[in-house]
Amino acid sequence: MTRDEPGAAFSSPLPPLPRLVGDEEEQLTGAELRRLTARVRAHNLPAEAGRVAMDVGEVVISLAIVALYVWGFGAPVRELLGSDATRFGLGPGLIQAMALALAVVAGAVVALRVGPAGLPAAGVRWWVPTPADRAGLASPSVVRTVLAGIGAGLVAGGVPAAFVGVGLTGILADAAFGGALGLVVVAGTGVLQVTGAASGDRAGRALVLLLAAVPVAGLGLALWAPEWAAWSVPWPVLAAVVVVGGAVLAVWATRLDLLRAGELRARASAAMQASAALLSLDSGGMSRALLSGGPTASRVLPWLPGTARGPAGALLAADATLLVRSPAALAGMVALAATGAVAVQVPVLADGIGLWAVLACVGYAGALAGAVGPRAAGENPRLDSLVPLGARATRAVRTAWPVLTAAVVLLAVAATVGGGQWLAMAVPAAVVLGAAAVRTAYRGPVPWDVPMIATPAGAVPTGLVLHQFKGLDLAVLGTLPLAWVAVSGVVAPPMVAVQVLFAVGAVLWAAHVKRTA
Amino acid sequence: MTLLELSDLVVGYGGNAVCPPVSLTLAPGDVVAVIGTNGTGKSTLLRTVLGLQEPLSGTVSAFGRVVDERERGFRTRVAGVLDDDAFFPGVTVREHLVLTARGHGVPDAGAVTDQVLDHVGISGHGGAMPHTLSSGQRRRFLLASALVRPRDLLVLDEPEQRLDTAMRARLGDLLRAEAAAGTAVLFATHDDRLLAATGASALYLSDDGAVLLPSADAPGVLAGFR
Repeated sequence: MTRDEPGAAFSSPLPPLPRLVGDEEEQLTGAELRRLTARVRAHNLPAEAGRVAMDVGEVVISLAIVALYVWGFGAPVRELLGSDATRFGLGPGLIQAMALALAVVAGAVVALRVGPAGLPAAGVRWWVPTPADRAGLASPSVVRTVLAGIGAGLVAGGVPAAFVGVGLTGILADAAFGGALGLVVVAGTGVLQVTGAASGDRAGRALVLLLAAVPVAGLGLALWAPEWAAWSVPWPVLAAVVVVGGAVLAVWATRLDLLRAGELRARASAAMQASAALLSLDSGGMSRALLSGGPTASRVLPWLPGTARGPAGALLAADATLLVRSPAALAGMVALAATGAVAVQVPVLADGIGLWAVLACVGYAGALAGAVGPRAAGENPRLDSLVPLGARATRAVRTAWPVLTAAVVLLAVAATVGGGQWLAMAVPAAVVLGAAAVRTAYRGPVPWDVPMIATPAGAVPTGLVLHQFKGLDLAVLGTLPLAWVAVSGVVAPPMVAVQVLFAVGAVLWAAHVKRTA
Repeated sequence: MTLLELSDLVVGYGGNAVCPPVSLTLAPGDVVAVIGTNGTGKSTLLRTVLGLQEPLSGTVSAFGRVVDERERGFRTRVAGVLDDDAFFPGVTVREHLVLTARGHGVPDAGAVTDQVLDHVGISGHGGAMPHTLSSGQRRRFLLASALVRPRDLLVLDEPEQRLDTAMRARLGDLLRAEAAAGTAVLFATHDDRLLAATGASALYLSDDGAVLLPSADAPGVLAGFR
């Protein structure tokens, strides 16, 4: 650490600074400035060849392991989909289409939020105010994003096709189709970025709604076209998408100098937030980075906070305000309900333990979507201290909205399964899942100081595992009565009563706060 | 000659204004401080002047053209320092400044950088990595980034933040020298002594409107916020 120079440095007046005049011929272009910075950096931090080779080797090995996992996981999925025992059908073609559509829209959400053209925060601070051309500064990020978009598209198009048993030529065509769509998505969001259309929250909100619309459309298609067979995209369609992607890319690439500094600052900030969340495996931080609104976020229902009466009422009103102003949470709820309704069309997920898994998963995810307020409080403990209410009571009150959103999702799925009897189980199960979401929201940062456990497969970061399971544990244990009912197929009143008892216990567990000395 | 002209400018976020309409003209050598209590839109106004955000209404013109920071000419002539310190890892303080100077085509960028480092009192830290500097030294470093490059208009957001008393006094001298050299200076401040040292007139933002105070009255008004 260096120290301040003493104030005595200013004891004698210095001559005024000369008036500087830049030589236009000597001004650096964006590419020159970028390369010069990289050279300076490389000079100060020389990369060791061995370390680079090791890093590359690690990436290659990791990718190979992931590919093997995917291949291994694919076999049972293929068998499941090939069993042809669906009731009103979940054709493999629909699975392919939904997977690709979800990937395309999710990719657009990410691209719009963190780029696609961007600079590191330091680049925005030091390069952007110079006369250097922005095309030269941003072009490496454009190349990277285009390659990432195409790569992700290849996977999103090819992997589902391989899973549902499309032939090799078809897999290649579908992968290429996905890659071309990836190009269209990246280049399209790039054009939105340079035209300034991406700077507000409108485009982001529209994409979030679109993300929710995909499972809903999937549910409709499952009813309308139950026998949709596995497909490979026709070559003319593929060629047309490639041409469109190329054209949009050309438009984007020729307009990079129109990038605004404000836009680049916002993207750099979102990208930094997202990478920090990724490195620390902070799912909440990631969703905030990719989905939260900016300064122009929604101000719907401005009267809502004013309706609060008493401390508990204030908490409920505050959490309700956050929830209704979070389009991502509301859209997520709809998407989860539709996803659950589609999932239970697969025979193995239509009853028994599979049905419980679907209900618990989508219900818990629905509760997490509704836990906007508890998450905010979990990340900033001072919020709770603003309300004159004990910590346990605060957490118990905060379960209200997650319970409601979990209930909406569970009831939608239960209604698809059929029989009003499920509704009696769904409500207390929703209370459990809402409580689980609150436990998750208050789980705090990852305890990285917990020792790792050595296993034959490598070191297991115990702290991270414990952290990830906090909340999930309650969701699983608390819905055991629901699992019993799903397996037995009978919703008996005693089991409903047991589930109610579990719900009470879950709220108490979620509200539990360790006493400090 | 007018360097900067704000006409009925309203700034804010999401359609909500954060300050009253502002009209102001700056000629070469003018020094104007933007003053007001917290939340009166000083920083937002400066960000809008620098073209980093769109006005809600009204116009900002620099050198006779509506401000568009994407224009090379604007970036060549306008230097700004906000409260954003991000640095390239592995690049020293001096190297950051030399890169800035070279980006602007400043001849003999190294010598100019050394001179500026001396003026802001961190000449002994040119070889340090920015993250090793103290908070106040980082502020000096950021101020240096505006001084190593050509400028006709200098925009600073609370430049006195985190600076010690000696450096605040030096900052007053530096800003006066800028004005004497023909640069127009617009800065937001909460420091009445810095305001007095620069001899700046003040644009006072409040809920009642925006008023331009003469330099004789401005420090007294700012001191009255205490």
